[in-house]
Amino acid sequence: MRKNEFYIGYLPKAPGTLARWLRGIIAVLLALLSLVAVFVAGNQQPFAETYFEYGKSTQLKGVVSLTPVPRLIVKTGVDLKGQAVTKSILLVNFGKSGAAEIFHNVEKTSGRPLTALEFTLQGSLIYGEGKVVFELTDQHASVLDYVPLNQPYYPVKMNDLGEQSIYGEIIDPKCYFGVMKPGFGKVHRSCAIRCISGGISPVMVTKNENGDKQFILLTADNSATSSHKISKLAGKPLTINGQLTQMDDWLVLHYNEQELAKIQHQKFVAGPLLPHQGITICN
Amino acid sequence: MGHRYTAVLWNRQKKIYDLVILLAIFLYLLLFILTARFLSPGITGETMVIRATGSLALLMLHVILSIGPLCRLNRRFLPLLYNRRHLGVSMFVIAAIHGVFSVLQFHSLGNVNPLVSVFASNQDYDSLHNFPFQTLGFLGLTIFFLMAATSHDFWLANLGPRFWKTLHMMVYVAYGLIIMHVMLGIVQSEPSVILVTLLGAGFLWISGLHLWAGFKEAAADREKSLDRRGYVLVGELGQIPENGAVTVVVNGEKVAVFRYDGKLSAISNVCKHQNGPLGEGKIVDGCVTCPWHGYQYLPHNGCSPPPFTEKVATYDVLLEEEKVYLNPKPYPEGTTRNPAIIRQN
Ligand code: HEM
Ligand code: FES
Repeated sequence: MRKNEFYIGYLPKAPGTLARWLRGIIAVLLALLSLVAVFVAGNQQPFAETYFEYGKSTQLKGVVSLTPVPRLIVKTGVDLKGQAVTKSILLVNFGKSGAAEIFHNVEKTSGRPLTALEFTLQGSLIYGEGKVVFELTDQHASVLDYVPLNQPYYPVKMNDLGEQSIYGEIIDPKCYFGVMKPGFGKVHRSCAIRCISGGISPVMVTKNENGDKQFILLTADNSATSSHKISKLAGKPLTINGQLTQMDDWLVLHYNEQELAKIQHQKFVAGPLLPHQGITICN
Repeated sequence: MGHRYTAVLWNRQKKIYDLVILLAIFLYLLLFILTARFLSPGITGETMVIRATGSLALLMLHVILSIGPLCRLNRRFLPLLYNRRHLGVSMFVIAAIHGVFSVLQFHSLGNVNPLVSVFASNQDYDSLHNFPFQTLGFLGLTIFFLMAATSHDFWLANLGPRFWKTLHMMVYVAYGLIIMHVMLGIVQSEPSVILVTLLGAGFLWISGLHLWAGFKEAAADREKSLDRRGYVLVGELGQIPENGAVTVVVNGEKVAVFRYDGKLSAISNVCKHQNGPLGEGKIVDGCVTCPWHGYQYLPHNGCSPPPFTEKVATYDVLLEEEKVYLNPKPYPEGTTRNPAIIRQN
């Protein structure tokens, strides 16, 4: 600034050379700002190829079961022996809450076990990585219709895979399979805690050395009391023990609620979480 | 009490300043969205909003924190300071969008109150790696809110300058909280050299600038010793520019000695508005004019010209054979003192 140039903000014009200098400073600032925008935006980890059909509603037909977790069982074909092949679509409620209560109501009003009914449900699809989750967006009103089945429903095959110890991360399937990106790890952790303690069934994601993922439904004797406890373990790598079974396109791990307390005191390895680090199933 | 907080209007310079802020915000968001769309396909709208506004708010915070020391190092940055509070309020708005979106995204529609959830969902307060980093962002945002809400001169006048200044110094606490918010948040789940480098460079820049300006000021603020009469030697008359001042520190107070119209007068260096350095101002239309926001004072009595009512302390100046001396005893604010007359040979 020349000696006689003095800036007074409330005067209409800044002195000439000062104004030129200011334009230079602003140009430098805008250039820096552009660089930061491009660096930060371009430096994000790739986002999962999962989808949430927000605002779009779909109708699905099938049998609903609450065991081991709320799901819609749909028949996708028959195997070589002529037995039904089924797929389980996880059912979740609107927001961060589970769908069990909706169907407890139906059970009460219909006076029949759920698996003796065929349901027509309306909601929004959430899908990716081979799994499908269905949001009952309109809550109770998402149950459009149910009619008694004339013949018993296709039997559910449960294959016992024995006692297993599994290393991975607990996620909430609603966010993980499409509603949020990223739907796992540290930044998503408190949301996973909210969702699971709100009744959305916890799922464990594991990964082998080749990067192949497995999704395991976690169940306990009393899902109401265990969901709050297990929610606290979401979003960080850990090992959990239990009885593993295969149920149509899902694995199910039945854990002992008392064991969770021990896991809480485990020391976890610092570092990136799923899916960037080799997370393995220990068997 | 001053009336000026009602008198300051949206003048042309402020409009330009605000326009530049808006343009910068727009440019950042546009570049962020385009880059993310291109390089990170599949990003959700919510994540886009959260990340774009979070990073922009932190960047704006760096600019805000740089302006003070830059002005102390080079007066040509002063125009950036003139309307800094609009920059501060804009930063708060951007940060609030980030915070509100995050709270809605991660905590709403659950089984507890979203604000309770921010603090109670993740409870690993005893772990660094798993620490509930969102709480740090929340505390930072609360500080920014208090600052933005009290940024108007009305609050400066009503809370008192000391309390107001302390409140606004909390910005450094908030800066620390936000750095940790990012280090314990996104850096834990997506460790990235670029992000850590940017954060580190930002931190070095901010702390380096403050230290540099601090050292420079400390050197200039060295107390002068009193002579036998109890006066301090300010310096040679020739060192004081016409319509400008030099400053001296006496009894821990900074005093500005102004030269104007063949006269010398001394007043406190501290502007009543926001403690701006009056000695770095100029005499404009016969008034000492503060370099920060242009508050004015008459040099011989330290009073703002009517209708304004701010007053600063005055001092006696003595001129002996081209040497300027100051009596370190302050007179009550607004006391008229006769200027020392510069004899023309
Ligand atoms: C209620 C207050 C706040 C909450 C709940 C909050 C929450 C979050 C969350 C969840 C993330 C991670 C999002 C992700 O990357 O997927 C994040 C990242 C971030 N936050 Fe905040 N935040 C808050 C306040 C602030 C404030 C006041 C600032 C700065 C002025 C800030 C700056 C950032 C930055 C720079 C990031 C990293 C952005 C990136 O991923 O590139 N946050 N915040
Ligand atoms: S500090 Fe604002 S005018 Fe002096």
